[in-house]
Amino acid sequence: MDALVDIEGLSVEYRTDVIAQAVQDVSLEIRKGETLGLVGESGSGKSTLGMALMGLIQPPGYITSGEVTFDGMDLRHLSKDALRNIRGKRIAMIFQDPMTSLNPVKKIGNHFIEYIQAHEPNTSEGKARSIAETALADLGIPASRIDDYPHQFSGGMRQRVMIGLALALSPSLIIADEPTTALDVIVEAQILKLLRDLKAKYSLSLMLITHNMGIVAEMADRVAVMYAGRIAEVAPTTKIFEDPKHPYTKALLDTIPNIQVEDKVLNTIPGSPPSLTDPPPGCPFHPRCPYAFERCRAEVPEPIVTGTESEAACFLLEGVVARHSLK
Amino acid sequence: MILLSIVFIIMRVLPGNPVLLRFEKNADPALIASYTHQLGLDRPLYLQYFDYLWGLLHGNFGVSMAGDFAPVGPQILSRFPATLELTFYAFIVAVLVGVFLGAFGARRGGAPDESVKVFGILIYAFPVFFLGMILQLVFGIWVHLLPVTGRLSAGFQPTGLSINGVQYQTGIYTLDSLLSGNVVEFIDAVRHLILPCLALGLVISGVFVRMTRANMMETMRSDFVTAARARGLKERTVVYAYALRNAMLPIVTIMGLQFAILLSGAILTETEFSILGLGTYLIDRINFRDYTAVQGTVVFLALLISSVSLIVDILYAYLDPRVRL
Amino acid sequence: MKQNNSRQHTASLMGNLLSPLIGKGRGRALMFVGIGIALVITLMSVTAPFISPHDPTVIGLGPVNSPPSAKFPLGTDQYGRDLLSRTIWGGRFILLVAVAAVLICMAVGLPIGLVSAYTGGNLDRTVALVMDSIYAFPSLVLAIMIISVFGVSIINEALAIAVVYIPTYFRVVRSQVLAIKEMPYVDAAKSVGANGPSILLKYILPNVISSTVVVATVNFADSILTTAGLDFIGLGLPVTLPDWGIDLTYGRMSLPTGSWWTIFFSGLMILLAALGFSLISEGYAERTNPKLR
Repeated sequence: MDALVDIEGLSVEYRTDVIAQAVQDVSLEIRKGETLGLVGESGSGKSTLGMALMGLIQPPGYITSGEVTFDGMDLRHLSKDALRNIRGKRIAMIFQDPMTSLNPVKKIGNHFIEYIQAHEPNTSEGKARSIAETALADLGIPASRIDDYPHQFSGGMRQRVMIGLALALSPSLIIADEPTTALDVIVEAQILKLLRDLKAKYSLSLMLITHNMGIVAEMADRVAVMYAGRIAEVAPTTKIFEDPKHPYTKALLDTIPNIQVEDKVLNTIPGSPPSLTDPPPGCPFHPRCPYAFERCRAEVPEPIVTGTESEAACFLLEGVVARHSLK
Repeated sequence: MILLSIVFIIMRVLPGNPVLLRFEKNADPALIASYTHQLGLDRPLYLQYFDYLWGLLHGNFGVSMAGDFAPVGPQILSRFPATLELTFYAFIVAVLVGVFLGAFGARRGGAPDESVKVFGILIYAFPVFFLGMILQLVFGIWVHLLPVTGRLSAGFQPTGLSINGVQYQTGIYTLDSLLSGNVVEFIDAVRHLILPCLALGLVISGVFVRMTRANMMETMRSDFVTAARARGLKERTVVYAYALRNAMLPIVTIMGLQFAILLSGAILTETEFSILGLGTYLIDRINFRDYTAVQGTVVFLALLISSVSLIVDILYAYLDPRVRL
Repeated sequence: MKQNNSRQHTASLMGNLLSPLIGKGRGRALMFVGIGIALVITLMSVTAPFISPHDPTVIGLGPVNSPPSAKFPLGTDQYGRDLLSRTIWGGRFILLVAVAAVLICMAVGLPIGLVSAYTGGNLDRTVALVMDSIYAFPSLVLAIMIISVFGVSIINEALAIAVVYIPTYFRVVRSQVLAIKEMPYVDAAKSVGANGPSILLKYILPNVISSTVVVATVNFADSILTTAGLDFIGLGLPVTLPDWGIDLTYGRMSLPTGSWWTIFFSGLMILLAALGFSLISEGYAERTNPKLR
């Protein structure tokens, strides 16, 4: 298997007045050239996971265990400088809110130039500028706007700039954390198309973090579902939608209103997400799970293979398939 | 404008005839009448108001009541450079200390951060003249390291730029001595400035420390800082070009206000260190009951503060691309 | 509905005011240390006639300029007066002026701010403009002006300090009112017939209270420093009375001989007094402002 990124048993906690477990024992891989959709509610830990991949977890956040391997390199034990070299150059990140992701006092062009020169110090300013202009052109932004300031751009254009910055140095992996949540639907469609085109053009891998199942259905090859800091289920996109195995995934899909069926009442998942500072023992979903039984309250389920490239962490599946963990 | 009117009201209208205040009750009525006339105080009030404003437009700050009716303007100008020098260097001290300590605390967090916060509160609560005294005591009297009063040591004459044998002096001794190439005098002037500027600068830095710290803490958590880090920029770039640069913007807006506070402090500092500036001039004139001179000086200060505020506004527009005049 | 409301209302206002005192969290240490210092100094000043070992104005009680000793724990000044007594007595004028200044400010600034902001329109704009002009003026200079013409008294000094601080209260109140005025729940109240003053009282006042406390304590600290400064330059009390600022003026003359005690304790008291109230302000602000983490 062509794994570009291999995450093994990663845990991240936030220590303030209380300790919050944001990510618990997550094992996941991202393959070369694929789009992996990472879905979950707010607080499920998906953004934290993305940040941890980039090495952007800062105090009061701490990575407490686990390994992260990127293209054969052990990211957790790299020196700060080596990690900084990879960040932005081999792995790039796009953030949720384009309105606040750019430095208000810096021209757009200078964002690029500074960034390019930080990674390739021998680039002349002229050369960096032309790279910037090419990147902007790729995104549909006229080169004449290179000396404008962020506040002179619309939200959609700013997000394009962010994408441009992410791509400028040809990374292998892009992590997009809710890239379209702050944009209206029309702009969203444009941005998603842009991402698809660029991915094909530059043979990228994309980790798409979102809470929107619709985007996932449209963009992702495989889907990983997170709940309360743990992975609930991983499977190819069509499989997830047609035959979800984990009770949470099922419940999640049930909440999507179906335009063809005349439902009078919207489905919801009863209860609320667990507290990250004081998680219930056993499976994190058990308080809200209609199928929960005794064992669910006591033990945390390990992922169980349910098919090719599919696995789910639920005791219900135990009798069904042989018990061994495969990623 | 409003300020100028307020000054006029307080100094001229409310007390009635200032000449009466100046002299004892049993003074010769003829003398009082003559003074009153000379100062134009017997003219109708609204005319006096217009005279006042008109005069200011021409740089006329009134005439002294001290017996010779000398114009106040030149007196103010002769004492102004000392105050300017003091405030300028003190301001630099305040900003440097304030910003770097504030940024330091914001980045470090934990105990160093708390100490910085407390320092900010503590130093601002210090009466500037008390701090001045402590500094004088420690560095001037217990340890004879620095001079404690005045601007130049005995035997020094302030020099200036010589062009064709004519001396041009700004009155700012550090500047003048550099212009005339007199290094020894420059060092002497600087040595005299160290303690007063430290005292005034440190106290004022309190505000800058607290504001920088608060702004930095907030800015460091903003999206564009995280995004910058995600691009693999050096931490130093992220802190200075991204976080600090943006955190400082709101601080510029209060600099005008801080200048006013700086002037108040300067009055006290000049008194403490026996520096002959506008502050000591003001107090001096009050002791002589020279009300017109007091009025003129206060007006000058008000104009000064307004100008500084204006400059600060322009500076801010230059620094923040989101604001355009 | 109307009768028992004012009692409940006052109670809830008091609750708003005092709630930051209770419970854990940020700024607690700051606030309590500040309250402690402020209380001690206030008590000391109030009970001065009873706790002061000697009369602070008597000359020649002890040797001139003598360092702290068993007989005179804080030493004596250049006139042989006991510095301990002078220090105990020295804060009364300064504190009285501060109290007067804060009261005047609140009595003038708050209502003007409330009414002006609530009324809105040209009145509001004009008043705001005037306030902005006064805002930047240094209180010391204004005080110097007023005192030079009108002479020294508690009211004069308090007035001078108050005038320059009123705009701060005005601004704080005004921004709160402007924000709340537009909120839906005010419209809702109006739609069931609530009128102007009652809206002011019920909705706006509680929110304004915590900001007012913060501003008032800073005002108090600032007033202490300004009054001490005025006393120091000789525009304060008559020089025969005990006062921290005056002690500094005279103690200063003995400095060249290294008599540190002549200035140290008085200066320290001014510092502590200002510090105490500043700490209360910071602590209170931290507890009531969620943004400061």
